[in-house]
Amino acid sequence: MLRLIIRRMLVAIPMLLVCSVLVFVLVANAGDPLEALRGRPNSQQAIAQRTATLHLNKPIFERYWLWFSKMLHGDFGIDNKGLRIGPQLWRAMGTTLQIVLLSTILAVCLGIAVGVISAVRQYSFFDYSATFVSFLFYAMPVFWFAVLLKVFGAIEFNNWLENPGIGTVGFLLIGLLGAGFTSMLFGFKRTVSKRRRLIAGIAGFAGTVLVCLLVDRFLADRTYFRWIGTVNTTDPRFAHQGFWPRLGDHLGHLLLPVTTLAVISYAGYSRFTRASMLETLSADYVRTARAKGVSERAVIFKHAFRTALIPIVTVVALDFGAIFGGAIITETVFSIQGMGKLFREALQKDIDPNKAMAYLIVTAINVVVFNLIADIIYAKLDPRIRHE
Amino acid sequence: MSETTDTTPTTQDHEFDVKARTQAQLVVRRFLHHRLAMISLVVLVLMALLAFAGARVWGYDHARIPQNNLESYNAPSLTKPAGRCRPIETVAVPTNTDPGVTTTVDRLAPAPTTTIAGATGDTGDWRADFIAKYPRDHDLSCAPHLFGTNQVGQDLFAQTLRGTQRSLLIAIMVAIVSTTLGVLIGAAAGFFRGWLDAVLMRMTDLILTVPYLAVAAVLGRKVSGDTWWVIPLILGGFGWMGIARIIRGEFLSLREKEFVEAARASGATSKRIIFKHMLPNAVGPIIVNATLSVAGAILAETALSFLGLGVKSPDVSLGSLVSENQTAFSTHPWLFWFPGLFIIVIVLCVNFIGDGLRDAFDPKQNRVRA
Repeated sequence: MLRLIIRRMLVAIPMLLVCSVLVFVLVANAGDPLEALRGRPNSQQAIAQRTATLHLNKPIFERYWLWFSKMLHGDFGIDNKGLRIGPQLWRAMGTTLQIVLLSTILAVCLGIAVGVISAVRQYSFFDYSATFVSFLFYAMPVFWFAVLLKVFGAIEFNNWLENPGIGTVGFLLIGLLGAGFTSMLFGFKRTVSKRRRLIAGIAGFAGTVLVCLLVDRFLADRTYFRWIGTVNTTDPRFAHQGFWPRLGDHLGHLLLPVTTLAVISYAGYSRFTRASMLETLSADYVRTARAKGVSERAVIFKHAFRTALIPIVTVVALDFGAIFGGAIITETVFSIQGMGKLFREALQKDIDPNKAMAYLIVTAINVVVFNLIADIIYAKLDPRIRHE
Repeated sequence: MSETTDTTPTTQDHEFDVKARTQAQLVVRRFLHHRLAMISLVVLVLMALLAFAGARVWGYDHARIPQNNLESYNAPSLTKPAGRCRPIETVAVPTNTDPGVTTTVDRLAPAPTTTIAGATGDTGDWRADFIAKYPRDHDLSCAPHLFGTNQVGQDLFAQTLRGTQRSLLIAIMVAIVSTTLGVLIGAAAGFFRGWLDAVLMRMTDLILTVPYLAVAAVLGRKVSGDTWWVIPLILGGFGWMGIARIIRGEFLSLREKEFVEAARASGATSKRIIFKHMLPNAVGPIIVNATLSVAGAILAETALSFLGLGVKSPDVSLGSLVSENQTAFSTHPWLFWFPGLFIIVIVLCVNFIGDGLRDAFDPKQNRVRA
């Protein structure tokens, strides 16, 4: 295992070096950092100052070396406003990490659960609807979905919170969902008769409507504040309050961006899980297990699921590295001060080379690290890799 | 779910007669039986027809802003725009002698029979000049605003059609560029192996390290209105890695096959083996991935537009329409719904077609999902 890690590191480090050179050249040629200054009157001094801090009068390779040697010591230089990039970068990484981590957990749990059920009940009603929903999420532009979520998930929901209550339509819809859920849960075995499934469904409908009634009674005659936030990750009004209100406020702000990212990853994971599960379910050793008389539950979870999980885990690890740099759009829609914001700030009219470089290099390191983690997990889970 | 068999009952002697079909025939047959993929194909073709042909005959132009600003924010409707549909216009006719002469002109009627003495114009026919000056004029068109209008009165239906054209064109160009690059690089790496493989695959890993969107955003800063064609080049130039890896894997296994060995033994050149013997055998994954990359490209272009890099006004793409109108959502929701729905339907159709193609190219599949 150690040998594998070392071997991969030996490949990854030179690649990162080459990558940093390429990215540096790319950023250096992407625009003029002095463009906005040039237009202004009496900007000679400012131009001279920025030229000096960015070493613009030096050749590009010398500039790269100056940047690189500082970067190795964790110093990312200063941005165009004269602020240090390091602290901004760490803060942005912290914020992005929260969102990405939460959304990945959510997407993985949901995606794997739905994918496994879809595969085990291939071509069932559940399979068809789950597949369709994944395809739909897959086809949506991220920010289109994010804006919809902002309007219906936050503004309308907050309006609703001011005078909450579940209407008749709400009762029916939630009841139907409950009915579907229970009939699926009880009727999961193929041997269960249609009548019993129907009874389970009716019971589920009655149960959920009852719960809804209770919730409705509970909600009535109270007012709630507008909990779901659409901008930033905290509300300054909560800055001086206790831990729990602050946490509540924070979660209210994280809910929508996390949902947005999770929904997109979910679509991929559920389809991938389904495909992977279908492949293992038709493998010979699964048939052998069934022939031996192993219970269906054990066949699915102990034999098929474990093997199907291997490629999924690696895909999740790779995605986690990639999504870290790819949350630009979600962060912009919800005005979150994360990595994406940092990158967009860097691409203003006069490009901010140090900031852009900081973003790109951190993202690249992330991708490489998670590639490495994916490799290690793969080797750990799949014994065939180690003998290679 | 239906079982398709390649058998048809004929005579009593033979219970069935096996018909020989080529590989391509089998694939086409399987695809034609994939109901969802076929529906998607029809929908997509209809949308493309609507976008490319419909935009020419539609009563409005995507860029033209009407003269009177009363037109802003029309809600979608199926009826004629109120108070504006006037095919008969009173216009001032410029004459040499009397500048005050006015006459009515019916824009929808054939060329005028009466000529006004002394009327001026480039061709001498003032009415023809008038119509030539305002082709598909907003102020005269009788077409309803199917999708409503935006704040300056531009017809959203015309814009959506134009955006669909642009988005489809960009996506297809991206697919061509990325597939060509990916196939060439993957094929070279898989066929020649050795140092070339190592170099090409390290290069692939390298490009995968930097986020696609970030590179496109940095490069896309230089794109201006006239150079929209740079966008597909950028997106395609950084989107070939997936296909290259798949084709490399495919080639690594193909090159060990007997027919390749036979070709080599009979003295075929590497070029001939790659293009005549191996590529046709890898056509399945190539077509499937090219199709799916069309869907990816439409979404990528949308994302770029959102970042303010992409097709620039007055030209529009579906992505630029949605991102331009996102702030209008709470007050004028149609501006946001229609282009977004177009994107979803197109991407959904392309993905379903890709899925159908994958099933069709899969030799293990003789059961067709209905």
